[in-house]
Amino acid sequence: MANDLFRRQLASYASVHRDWRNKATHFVGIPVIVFSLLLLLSLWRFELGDREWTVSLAVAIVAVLGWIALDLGIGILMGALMAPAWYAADALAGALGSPSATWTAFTVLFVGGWVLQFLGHHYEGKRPALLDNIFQGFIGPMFLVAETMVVMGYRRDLADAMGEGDVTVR
Amino acid sequence: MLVFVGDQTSEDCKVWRTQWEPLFVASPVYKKLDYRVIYPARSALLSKQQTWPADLRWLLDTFLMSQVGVQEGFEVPRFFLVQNKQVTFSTSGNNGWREVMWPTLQDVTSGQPG
Repeated sequence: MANDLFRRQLASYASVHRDWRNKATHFVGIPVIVFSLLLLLSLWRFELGDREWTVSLAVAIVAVLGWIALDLGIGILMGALMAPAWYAADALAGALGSPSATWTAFTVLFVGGWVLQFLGHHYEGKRPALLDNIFQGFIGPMFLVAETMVVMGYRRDLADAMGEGDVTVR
Repeated sequence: MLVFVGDQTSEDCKVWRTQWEPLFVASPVYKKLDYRVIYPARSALLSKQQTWPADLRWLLDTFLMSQVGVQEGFEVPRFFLVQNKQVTFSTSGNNGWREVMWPTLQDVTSGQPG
């Protein structure tokens, strides 16, 4: 289901995320960063087809379509995760009430998420993949889902791409 | 150091190992280089750290993070010329070996004692 581009990008991403502490901080940091972006993008709205849309929903839909294009299974799961994340971000933006409060919440979450990312890379001893290849920022959330599926015993193909699992010769 | 990376299911790798490698090993260039081989049973094992000797795992990660690694993946056979723990040149395929890597190795080792 995964295309070659995704496998190569995943292999590249995995090569700088081998330390379990780095993985652990990413499992918190990446969702927090994604949520912070959805929260901020909830501030802007536009009308399309007699309906008001938030930029966060539009960006989330485009992102999920991109993830599906890279890997159908992972992409669908990403969609299932992004839907409640978008809904929660939109609700939080509404509850915060003002753009300044939303910006403050965004800043705290975004900076906090990146602090966790860099803490993980401190343990890893390698700089974040994003600094060398901006596309890796798009792969990061997929890596978390892929890693989870591999740990659960699914997607042997992704385990191979990430260099995980046993090395038993078949 | 020259590092050969291949897998046992690849026909091109079999060609390298049966035709080109013996010529290389018999050459004076071979005596001037540390030659290392990564040759697992199947291609999927190439990206696993356990396949690589501990002192060369940095090379695996460096390659996977490189532009060539992201764009091409492990096209085998692949050759790395490593100097001072840095990849100074890399190419793939038997044509890449014959037309680029082999002349490069001859240049690099030409001034070295045997």
